[in-house]
Amino acid sequence: MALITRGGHAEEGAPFYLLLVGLLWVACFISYSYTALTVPNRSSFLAPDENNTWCVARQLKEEGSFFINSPLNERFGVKFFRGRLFVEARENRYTSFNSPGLTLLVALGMVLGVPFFVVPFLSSLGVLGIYLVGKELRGPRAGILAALLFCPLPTVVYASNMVLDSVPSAALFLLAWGALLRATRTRSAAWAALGGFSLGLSFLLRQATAVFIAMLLAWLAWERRSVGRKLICSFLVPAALMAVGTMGLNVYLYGSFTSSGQAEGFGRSFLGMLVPVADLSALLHAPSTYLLGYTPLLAALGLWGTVVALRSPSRHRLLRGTSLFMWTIIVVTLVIYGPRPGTWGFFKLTLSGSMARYFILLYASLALLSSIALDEALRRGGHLLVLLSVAAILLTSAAISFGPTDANNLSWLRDRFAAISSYKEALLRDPTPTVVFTRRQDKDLYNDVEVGLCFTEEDAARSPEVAALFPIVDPREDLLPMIEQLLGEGWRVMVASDAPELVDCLRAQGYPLRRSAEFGSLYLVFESPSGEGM
Amino acid sequence: MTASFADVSATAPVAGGILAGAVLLLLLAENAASRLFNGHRGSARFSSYLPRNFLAVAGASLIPAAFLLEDDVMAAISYPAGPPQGHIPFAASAVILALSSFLYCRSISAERRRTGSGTRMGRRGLEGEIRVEVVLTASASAVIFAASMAWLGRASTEALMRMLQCSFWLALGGIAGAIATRRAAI
Repeated sequence: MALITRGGHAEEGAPFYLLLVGLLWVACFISYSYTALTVPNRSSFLAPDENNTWCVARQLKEEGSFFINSPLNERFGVKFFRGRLFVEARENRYTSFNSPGLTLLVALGMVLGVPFFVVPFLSSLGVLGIYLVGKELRGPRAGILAALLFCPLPTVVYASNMVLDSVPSAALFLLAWGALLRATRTRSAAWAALGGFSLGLSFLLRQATAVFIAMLLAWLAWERRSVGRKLICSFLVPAALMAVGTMGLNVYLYGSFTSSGQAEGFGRSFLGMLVPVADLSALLHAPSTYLLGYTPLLAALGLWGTVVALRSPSRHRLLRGTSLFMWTIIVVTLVIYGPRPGTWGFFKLTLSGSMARYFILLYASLALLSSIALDEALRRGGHLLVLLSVAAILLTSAAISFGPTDANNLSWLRDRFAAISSYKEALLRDPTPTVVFTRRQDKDLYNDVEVGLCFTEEDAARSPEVAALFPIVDPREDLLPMIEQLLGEGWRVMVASDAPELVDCLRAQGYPLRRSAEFGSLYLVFESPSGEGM
Repeated sequence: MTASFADVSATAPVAGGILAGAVLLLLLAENAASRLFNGHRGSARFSSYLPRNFLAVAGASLIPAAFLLEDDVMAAISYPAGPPQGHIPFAASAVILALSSFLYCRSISAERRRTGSGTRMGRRGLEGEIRVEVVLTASASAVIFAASMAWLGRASTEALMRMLQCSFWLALGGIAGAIATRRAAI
């Protein structure tokens, strides 16, 4: 028997669409696992956010603790022997700057022996989530179209190949939203509970999702009569329990309800909202790049989809209301993340920039609105538009992810991970205690060897963020005596080429330095002038 | 050869203008085709041979041609004058497209009222959504071609993104034209 959705569309051919969803899910999981599948001994990361999640997850698995001790800090009475995005949660004990949710799940993945497949799996749930939302709003055909438009987007594929929480959190939000819509139609408490659990998990992974959760709850309050008290309770109870658990964990780790990184990020975002005039160019840049530059077709189709939704018959109130809800998500995302030009990659049209992954839910909303447009086009016989639109998304994704244009494509990512993992393996083969002084290579080395951060007064003058987040050192005054002492005790001392002030300082003092291909861009420091040559 | 960012800044707005021209041609092509195949009263003998997706096919073939022209011809024209700046060329393209779409659909509407009976092409021309569909199909074709150029190493990521932005402004112009036409018809 054909069921009728809230949008009034019959669920004809449901098994066919379920088969398509299953195939798409598998395809997405494989493409999101590209680096996990092609770099089997991966031990390197592109973003420091990945590294802090990884380090704390490993600490959790091996030591049963969220905190990493720093013996060199303790010994010298300093604070710079640590990774960049870590906070000192206890005296000389460091934990991740970001939300602990992904840390917990990656630790679980480590126990199961599949740590690098955790993010791809969670991200691939977005296929089910967006299909459910599209299906409940307009029918299964719209659902599969929404999934086809959203899941292959280059930003989604790229961020899912890293240990980052953005896509998993958005995927679970979509799953929660879809389950809630399905629950309201089928009057199923089980779907409502699944939705609530997914929403709680989304919050656990990334507390910044709270903004969108608040909007979803506002929508739920608006629709409370059609949803019903029992379903609302079934939805809210698991979500609330998860939220309380998440905040309790944050209080334990950071002494506040949000993790340090999220609190700081929120502060910056909302401050940005208050002073938009100062950053007008950034506010204009954000929609131009992240809305039109990355997904122009979805933006255009989404506009048409909105018109179609708003002109739908009055009995499809849900479709009309939800289309406005989706535009609220789009506008709020742009307002919150638009004025953040300090974030890496903001002004650069590159999919590996930190900004693009903040807009995942914006892209999901556009994909849903676009699916409404394409469904309407199919109804009118416009098969070519649908075919070309899906082909355009797939081809754009393929060109950016695997083509020769972008230095930061998946092939490049794979080669980088493989190369760094290889030199790291060579580095760790020698059991000599090692310390590396660096600005950025902490993301590959921290917690395998000791890492000393080398940010100077010049860095602090250039970027207030550096001054706020990282300890500042004077290479000559702070580091040279320490290096001399460590060399004398038999430590292996290395300096990364991203710390040229220290390299120059060491050379000026007569320390021989050697750089070999085996250790990438690291200089090995020798104690005596009669050591190996430069 | 991969285009540098400076090349992209110079040529992408020009590509926008050419794309607008291509879609304008597309619209004119439909007008011409409508008259050729349907005549004023829908009695032309070839009307049954006109493919239903004629417009989309025309768009799909014209817009890649415009990109090719942009690379080889238009770049040479624009370089001596210096690279155009900002989004004004894009906006201008959108306005041109919207205006042409509006005027064309209005002329079809007037023709339909004059003849009193709708031909198949005439009926399609009256529906604003068909215009939207055609413009979006052309826009999708532009995206496909831009992505193909990126895949073949003919454009950097920045070039790809600028071409994608360009395709949006064109689509927006088309949609605006269609909406305006619909209101005008009412």
